[in-house]
Amino acid sequence: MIKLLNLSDGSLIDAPTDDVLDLAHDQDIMTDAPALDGVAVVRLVFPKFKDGRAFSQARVLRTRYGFKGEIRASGDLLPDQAAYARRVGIDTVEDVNDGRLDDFRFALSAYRFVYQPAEEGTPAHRLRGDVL
Amino acid sequence: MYQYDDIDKAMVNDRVAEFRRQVDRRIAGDITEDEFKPLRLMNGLYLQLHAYMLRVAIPYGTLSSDQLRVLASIARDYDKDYGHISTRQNMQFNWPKLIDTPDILARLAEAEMHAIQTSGNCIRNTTTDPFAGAARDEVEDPRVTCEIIRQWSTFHPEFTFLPRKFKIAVSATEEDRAAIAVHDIGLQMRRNESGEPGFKVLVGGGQGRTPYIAEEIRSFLPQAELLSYLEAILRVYNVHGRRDNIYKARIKILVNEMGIDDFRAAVEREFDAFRAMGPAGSIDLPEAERARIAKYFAPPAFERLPEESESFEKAKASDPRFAAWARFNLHPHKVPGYASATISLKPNDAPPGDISSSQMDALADIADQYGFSDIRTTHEQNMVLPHLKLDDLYTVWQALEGAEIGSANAGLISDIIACPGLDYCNLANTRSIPVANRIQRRFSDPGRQAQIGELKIKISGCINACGHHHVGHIGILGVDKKGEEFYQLTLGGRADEDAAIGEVVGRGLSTDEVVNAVERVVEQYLVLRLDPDERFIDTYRRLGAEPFKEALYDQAA
Repeated sequence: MIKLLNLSDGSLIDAPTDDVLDLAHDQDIMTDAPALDGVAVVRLVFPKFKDGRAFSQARVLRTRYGFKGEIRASGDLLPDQAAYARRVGIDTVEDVNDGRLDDFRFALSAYRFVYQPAEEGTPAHRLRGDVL
Repeated sequence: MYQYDDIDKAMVNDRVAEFRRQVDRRIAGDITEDEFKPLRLMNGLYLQLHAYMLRVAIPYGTLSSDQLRVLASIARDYDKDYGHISTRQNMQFNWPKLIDTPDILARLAEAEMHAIQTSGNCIRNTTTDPFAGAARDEVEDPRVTCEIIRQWSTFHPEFTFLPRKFKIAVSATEEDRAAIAVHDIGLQMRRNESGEPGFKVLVGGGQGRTPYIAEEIRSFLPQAELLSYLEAILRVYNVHGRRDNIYKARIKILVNEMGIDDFRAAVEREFDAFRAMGPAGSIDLPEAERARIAKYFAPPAFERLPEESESFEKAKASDPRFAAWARFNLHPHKVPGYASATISLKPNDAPPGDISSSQMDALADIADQYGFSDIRTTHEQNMVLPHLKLDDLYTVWQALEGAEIGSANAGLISDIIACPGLDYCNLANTRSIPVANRIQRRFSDPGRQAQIGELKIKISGCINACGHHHVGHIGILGVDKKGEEFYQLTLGGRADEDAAIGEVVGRGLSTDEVVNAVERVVEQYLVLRLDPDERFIDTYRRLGAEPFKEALYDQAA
């Protein structure tokens, strides 16, 4: 059973057995909508940690297509990128090296605040007393 | 200036803790240098030729006197007693030890400063007019927008692993003093026909190996929609920007390959998608938050003074050296009886842009006593005291002279931008600083400099163009030919509102030839100009490169 790191709390969970829709890192989903009907899990890939295209893909999946299922990250995601991943709407990370679990967990709680609105986290300006 | 609240403080403190742990992991060998590199770069830490270099952010070039003292203390305690102003208005320290950097960041954090995103493939420090908030010709203070961009871009979850670095500049005047046309995004503040605030937006400018002047992507963007429009541009870039070749990864290449019209269409599609999310889904900053930030940039308590100052006029009449400084280093202020002063960090025979700890302390004291504690850095590697009373200028200048930062050469031929070059940088092919110093020496006569007038020389030690040679009135590019240093001249570049990339003239010049060549170009200009008010760049525009080439080759042959 594949283990996934759950970015919401840093726990390890068993991967659900649902079918997974794989999106290539260079797929332009801004222009071409992916077929999301009945899809429970979308897996994005970081071919190298420096390649941040999946961050945009996740955000477009959430905002443009209203995707409510699981977004999973695979590939070369660094522990230090975990909070960014969570903030763009990624739920889980595949294949986390055991030796790096602590680093992932640290990264998930390294910051108490965020500045900008995204899929997760309350932006600073809202905490500063702005009422929508 | 902006003051951190508890959230801003937590943000930089959390960053220090995170970086301390990253350094520990690196030292313990838990992460590879390859993995550590982007992490340290996003904290401004480079590995240079001889040592680490730490680049501290000076957001939009604004500093308080206390912050400058903290920078002085860092230079004193962790460096060789000096700092260096960069062309992004930041301050670089050339000799820190890796193990000390978390403590340096902690000291910065206490003073509401940081080194966040001063390097790496992310959104860098936003730059602007060093006379912001003081300039007579500005639409409004651009620093409010800059601070909004600073907060929005700090740890942006979607745009921190871009194809390449990303630089934004904001100008609030028609005369562009922020070089917005050579930025990834240039914002010019303006008002539309109904008087509403907004921006003209430029995109795809840049220097480096392949220089481009930015193109206009939008003639008017309402101020309230700035962030969603920036996100639209950044997203198109993040998804479509090239990642196969580091030299083709900047947005300028994407804009050029797509064409501005297709690029604009793609951005507008994203922008429409943001708009379609409505107020509840908006990522734009609410007006209340803009107002909160704007409050911090309220003008200081200026006195009501006459437009002219008797003591200032008298001092100029009696002290010609002061008169020269006042002629070249002052900029018109929006409030009568005040002026902004450029503090030249370009004395002869020193690396352009360097400032020592004691000079920083002296400048901080002067700012406290005479300038509302407000200090700026400039992209031309100088500093500015934005708010000085004309009545105080003579005293201020004497104090600056005492600290050896009173050079009367702002905008003149010795006010040279130069990259660190081979003296520090592991990318450089040639040295830059010694060339700058030799040109300064050749033109060291202040009378001759004054006669020549405004002339911007910019020197890069390699084609990465960190010394902005493409936009120098006279640009000098260092190239390595079989182990020997050569210098390529360009003419007619400019980074102002009529921005242009300089034209390459002729063959590379040896180290021995380059200063003579510059002098021949200058002598030719003095012959060609219609009158002393016609600047070098105006003469060049009127006549083109030909007459200058002739001057170069007649005698070089």
